[in-house]
Amino acid sequence: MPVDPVKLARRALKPAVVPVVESLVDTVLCTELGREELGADVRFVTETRDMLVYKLEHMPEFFGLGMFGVTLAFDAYGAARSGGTPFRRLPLAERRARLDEWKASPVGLFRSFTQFYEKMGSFVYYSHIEEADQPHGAEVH
Amino acid sequence: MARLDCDVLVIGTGPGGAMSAALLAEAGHDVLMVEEGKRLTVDSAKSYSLDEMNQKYRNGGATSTLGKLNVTYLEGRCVGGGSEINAALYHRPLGETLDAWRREFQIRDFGVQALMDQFEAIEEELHVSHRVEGESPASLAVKRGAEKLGWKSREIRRFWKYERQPDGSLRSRRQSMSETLVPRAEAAGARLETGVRVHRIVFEGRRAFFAEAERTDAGGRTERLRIGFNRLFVCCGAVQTPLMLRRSGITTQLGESLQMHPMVRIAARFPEPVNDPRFGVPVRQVEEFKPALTLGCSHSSIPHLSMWMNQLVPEKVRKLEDWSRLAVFYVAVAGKGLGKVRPLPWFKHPLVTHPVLPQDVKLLGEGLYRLAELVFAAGATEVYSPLEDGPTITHPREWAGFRESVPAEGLSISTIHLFSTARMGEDRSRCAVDSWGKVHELDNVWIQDGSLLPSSPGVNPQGTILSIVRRNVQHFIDQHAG
Repeated sequence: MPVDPVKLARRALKPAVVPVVESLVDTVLCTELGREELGADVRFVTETRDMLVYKLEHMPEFFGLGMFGVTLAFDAYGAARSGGTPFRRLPLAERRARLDEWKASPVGLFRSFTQFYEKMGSFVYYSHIEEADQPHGAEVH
Repeated sequence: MARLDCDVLVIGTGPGGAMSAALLAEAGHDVLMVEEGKRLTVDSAKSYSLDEMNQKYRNGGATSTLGKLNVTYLEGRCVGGGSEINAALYHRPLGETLDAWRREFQIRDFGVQALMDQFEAIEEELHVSHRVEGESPASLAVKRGAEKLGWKSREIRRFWKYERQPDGSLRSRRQSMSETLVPRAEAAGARLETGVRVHRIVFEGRRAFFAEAERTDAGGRTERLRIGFNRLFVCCGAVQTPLMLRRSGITTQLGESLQMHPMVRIAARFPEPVNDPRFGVPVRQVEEFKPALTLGCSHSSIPHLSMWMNQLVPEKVRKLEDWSRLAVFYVAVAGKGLGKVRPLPWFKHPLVTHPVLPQDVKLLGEGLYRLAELVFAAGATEVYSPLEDGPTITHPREWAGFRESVPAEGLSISTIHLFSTARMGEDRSRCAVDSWGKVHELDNVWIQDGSLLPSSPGVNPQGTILSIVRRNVQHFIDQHAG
C-alpha cells in the first residue's frame, strides 16, 4: 500500500494535540457548567475530548490536519501570552481569557476554531448526558 | 486485484441510485449497486444524534465549504444516502421552477405535466403521507404564528409509512431508500456491494470501461477492486459525483455550479411546552415566501438546543433545564451563489468552495426578521440570537436592522441540500448531461442524482430528485428495450 503522508502527519501530531483538546474541553465545559458541577462529571470531559479528537480525525484531511495545526498554535499562543506556560497548563481563568481573545479576533480562522470547540464540545457533552438520561427517545406513536 | 462484472453499474445508493437500480433491475438489466458506506437499519441510531452522525454521515458530519463565509454541509454515507439522515419531507417541485429550468437550460419534454405520472407513482410507492397522529406542539406553534400574521403555512407530507397493528396501536417507519427501493432492486435481482469506494473510471474514447475501486470489509481490511460494466450510472450526490468524474478526467461543466439552500437556526422560548421528542421533526413550513425563503421548526433535542443557545453561556445550563419550552427554528434561502467541487492531489476529499452572495445574506437577514415575527406571533417570550455575541430579544423589531444588514461572519450557516454540479439540459455551455441525464461527452455514462438539478429548487429536493430520476431512467429503459 502507498504511504499516506497526511495520515502519517496526523499520527505524529496526535499525541501533542490530545492534551490541548482536553484543556479546551475543560475550559468550555467549566464555563458552561461551573467547576463544581463538572468535577462530578469528569468522565464526560474525557469522553467529550475523545469524541472531538475523533471528529478532527474524520474531517476532510486538509481541515483535520489544519485543525491539528491550529490547535497546537493555540497552545503556543497561550505560552506567548503568559511568559512560557502553554495553554493546556494555564489556570482556568487565563485559559478562558485566551479563548475569548480568539473568539473576538478579526481573523475568521480563529473564530471558527473557537466556534468548533465551543459548539461541538457542548453538543457532544449534552449528547453523552442525553444518552445517560434518555429524555429524548425515538419517535413513537 | 478482485474483479466484478455487470451490465449496469450504479455507484451510490441514495435516492437517485436506489431509484435507478430498482427500475433497471425490474426491466431485466444485470445491475450491480456499490455503496461506500455500510448497510444500517433506519433505527440503528436515534435521528440527529451523535451516534447517527458517526454512523451515517460522511466525515461524521464535520464538513464545510471554503469561502468568505463557510457553510457546514452534511452528506449521507451509508446505504440509502441522504434519505437516511434527512427529515424525509416530500415536496412536488414548483411548476414555475420546472418551467424556468426547461426554458433556460433547454430540457426536452419537461415540466409539471411531463412529471405528473412520476409524482403520483413516487407518492404511492414511498407512502408519502401526512402525520396520522397530528402535528407536534412546535409545528402547531408555526401554524399559530403564521395564522396570526396572515401567512400561508402547510404541513409537509413525509416519506413515512403507517400501519395499524392488531392491538389498535400505530406503527410507523421512515421510508428511506434502505427500507424501500434498495430492497426492491435486490428483489428484482440487483446485487449490492457495500464498503466500496470508486476512485476513478477508466475510459477509451467516449466509452467508460471499468471502475477502479477499493473494498473495505467489516474488519477494516481493504482490497483493490476492478469493476467491469457496459453502462454506468453515477449517483453519488452533488459533491462526490463531480469529484469522482473529474478525478477520472471528465470535467466539462462538472462541479462548476454547486448550489445549495443555506440555513440559519435560532432557538426560542415559549411559556408552554412546545418540545415533545415523541413527535420527531416538526413538519410545518411557512409557504408565504417560497421559493426564495423557507421558515420552519427544526429538531430540538437538548444537544441541538445547546448548540444554538451557545451565546447564552453561562446561563444556558439553567435555561436548558426547561428544555420542553424551547425549540429550534430555521430560515433557509434558495441560494444564488455558484460553488465549485475540485479534487486535490494527495487528498481523498475534495475542495468545495461556495460563495454566499450578498443577496443571499440579505435574504437570510430578512428571513431572521420574519422568523422572529413568526415565533413571537406564536407566543414566544424570548428569542436567542444567531450571532455569537448577540443579545436575547423579546420583540421582533429588535431584529428589524437585520433586514438591511446582518453581520454574516457571526452566523453559523449550514445546509443539507446540495445540487446543480452536473446540470441537465441541451445547453452544452452550461450543462454536463443531456435532458435525460446522459453525460454529453460520453456514450455510456449517466448521472442520476441531485447534481442534475439546474438550480436551487427552493423546496426540500428529495421529491424533485426522485421524480426526475424516475423519468430519466424510464426513458433509458424505453431507449434500450429489446
